[in-house]
Amino acid sequence: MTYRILSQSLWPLADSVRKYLKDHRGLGHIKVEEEVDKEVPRPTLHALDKDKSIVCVDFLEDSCFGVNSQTFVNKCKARQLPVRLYITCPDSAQKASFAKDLKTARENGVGVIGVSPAGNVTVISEAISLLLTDLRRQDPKDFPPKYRGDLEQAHQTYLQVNPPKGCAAIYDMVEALTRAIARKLHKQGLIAPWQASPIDLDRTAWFKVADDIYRHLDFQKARQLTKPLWAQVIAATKPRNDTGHQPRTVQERVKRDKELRTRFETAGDLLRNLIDATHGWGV
Amino acid sequence: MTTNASDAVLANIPVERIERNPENPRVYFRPRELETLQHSIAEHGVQVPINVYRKGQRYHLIDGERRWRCSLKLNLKTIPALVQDEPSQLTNMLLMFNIHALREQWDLLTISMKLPRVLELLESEVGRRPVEQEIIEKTGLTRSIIRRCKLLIELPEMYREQLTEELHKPKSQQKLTEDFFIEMERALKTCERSMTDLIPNKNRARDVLIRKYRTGVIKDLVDLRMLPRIAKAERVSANVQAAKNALLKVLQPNTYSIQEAYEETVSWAYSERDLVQRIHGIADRLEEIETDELEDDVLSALRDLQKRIQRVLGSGR
Repeated sequence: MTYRILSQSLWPLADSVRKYLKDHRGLGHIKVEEEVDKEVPRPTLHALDKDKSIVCVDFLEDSCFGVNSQTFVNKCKARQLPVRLYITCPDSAQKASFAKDLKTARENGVGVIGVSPAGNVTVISEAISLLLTDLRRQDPKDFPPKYRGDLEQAHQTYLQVNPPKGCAAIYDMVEALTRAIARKLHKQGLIAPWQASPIDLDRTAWFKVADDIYRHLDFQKARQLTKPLWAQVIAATKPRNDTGHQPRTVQERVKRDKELRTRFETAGDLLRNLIDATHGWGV
Repeated sequence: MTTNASDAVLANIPVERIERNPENPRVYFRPRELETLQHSIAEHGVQVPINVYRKGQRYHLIDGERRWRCSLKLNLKTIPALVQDEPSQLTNMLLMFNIHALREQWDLLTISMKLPRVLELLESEVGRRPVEQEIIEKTGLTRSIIRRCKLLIELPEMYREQLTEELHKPKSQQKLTEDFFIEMERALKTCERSMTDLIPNKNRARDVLIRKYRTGVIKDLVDLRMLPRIAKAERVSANVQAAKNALLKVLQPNTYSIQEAYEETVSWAYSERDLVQRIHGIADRLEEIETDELEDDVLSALRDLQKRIQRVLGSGR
C-alpha cells in the first residue's frame, strides 16, 4: 500500500496496523489519509467501529505522543467527535522519554500501539473516546481514606479500560453508601416502620430503597442529609442503569459520551456530598 | 533552462489537486522533520509558496513536497503556490536541482539517483557528454558535491540499498551515512591504485569495513583516511611489505583496527616526514630574515631551539 502523506519509513507499520485492525478488531472499510472532519487533521487510518466511535490511528517515528497529537486531540474535542485515537510507534525506536509520553497519551485518552520489527502489533494501552476525556477529577483528600482506593480504581477504569464500567463503579459506591445510610436511618428509628414499606434494604432495587427514604424520612431530624440532596440520589438511579447501553448511531454515541463524562463527575460530587452530610454517622 | 521563474503566477491552489513530481529525486522524508514542519504550518500557515506547474486540471510539484504533505495532513483546503507552465523534462529536473542547491540541499544519495538521468538529458540536448563545468552551471551543484555523488553512483546496488535503509531511519539512529560510503570508496580506490593485488574482492573488503564500522572496531570516519596513507608507505620510506600485510589484516573479519595498522606501520614515518617538512619551513623562513629585524621574543625562542637542537645532535646522531 502506498501513502501520500506518511513517511515511507513508516509504511510497513501502517500496513501491519491496518491488517491488525481488520483481523483482530473486525474493522472494515479502513480509510487511508482521508478526512474525518473538515476542521481536523487527517489521521493516517480511520474507520467507524461497531460502537459508533471513530477509530483513528496516527504514526510517529520514535514517540507515542507529540505536539501534533495534542493538536489532533484538541480539534476532535472542539468538533465534538467521538474519536478514539491510537498513536503507533515502532518498538525498536522508542526513545528515552517514551514512558513520559505514554503517561501523557493516557491522560489524554489516547491509545498506544507498538509494532515489532517483525510486524507484530501490540496494543500497549487502549484509547477512549476523546469526548470522555477532560474529566474533572475528584480530590482524594476530600474523601475518607476507605473510599480513596475504590475512587482511584473507578477513575483508572474510566480513563484506561472501559469508561461505562468506570462510571458504573462510582455509581456502585454511591449505591452502597445510600443503602448503608438507609440501614442507619431505620436502625435509629428515624423512619417509623409503620410508615415505610417493608423492604429488604440490601436486595430491593436501589431506586425503591432511595424512594422509600425520600417519602418517609423526616429530613428535619436527619441534620445535613437534606431532601434536595436525597433527591439527587433518586435522580442518580436512572442514569446508573443507562451506562451500559450501546449507541446505534454516531449522534447517539456523541450524546452518550458527553453524558457519561457528566455522570462520572456528578456521581463523584454526589458521593462526596453524601459522605459530608453523614459525617459521624458511622456509615 | 527554458522556463523562467518570473513567468510564474502566485495563487492559492487546492491542496487536493496537487500531485508529487514523478521526477523528484527526493524519496526520503524523515518523519521527525515532517512533524516539526506540520506543527509550524499549523501555527503559522505556509509561509513560503510552493512551486508547481499546471498540467490540465492538476498541478505537479517542482518544489515544496514537504509543505504540501503537511498541508494535506492538516486538511488545509488551499496552499500558496507559484504556478508556472509545464517545463520540459530536463528543465523540470534542473529547476528542482537549482532550487535545492540554493535553499536546502538534498541528501547526496537523492542527488546521486537522479544525476545520471540529468546527464543523459543534457547529453541529448547538447549532442555530447557534458563536461564537469557545464554540469556545475546547469545544476547549481558544487564540484565537490558532483564528485562525491559520482562515488555513490558507482556503488554496487546492494550498498546503495543499505544506505537507503539507513536514510529511512531517524538521524540519531543512522550509523552508515553517505559520508561513510564516500570515505570508504575513496580509501579503497587509493589502496587499489597504490598496492596491486591488495583487494582481490572489493565487495568483500567493503563488507568487512562496514561490519567493523558498525561494531565500533573502526571508531571514526577519519580512520578510513589512514588506509591510503598506509597504502602509500613507499612515499615515506616505510616498510611496504609490512604495510601491505597490515592492510590485508585490516581487510579481514577480525578486531584489528585501522588505527592499530597505522600505528604499527607508517605512523612514525609520517611523523618524521612531518618534522622534516616543518624544519625546512623554519629554515626557509630564517633565510629570509635579517638579524637586526628580530624582536626579543623571537630571539629568545630561537636560542631555546638552538639548545634543543644541540641536545638532540649531541646525543650521538
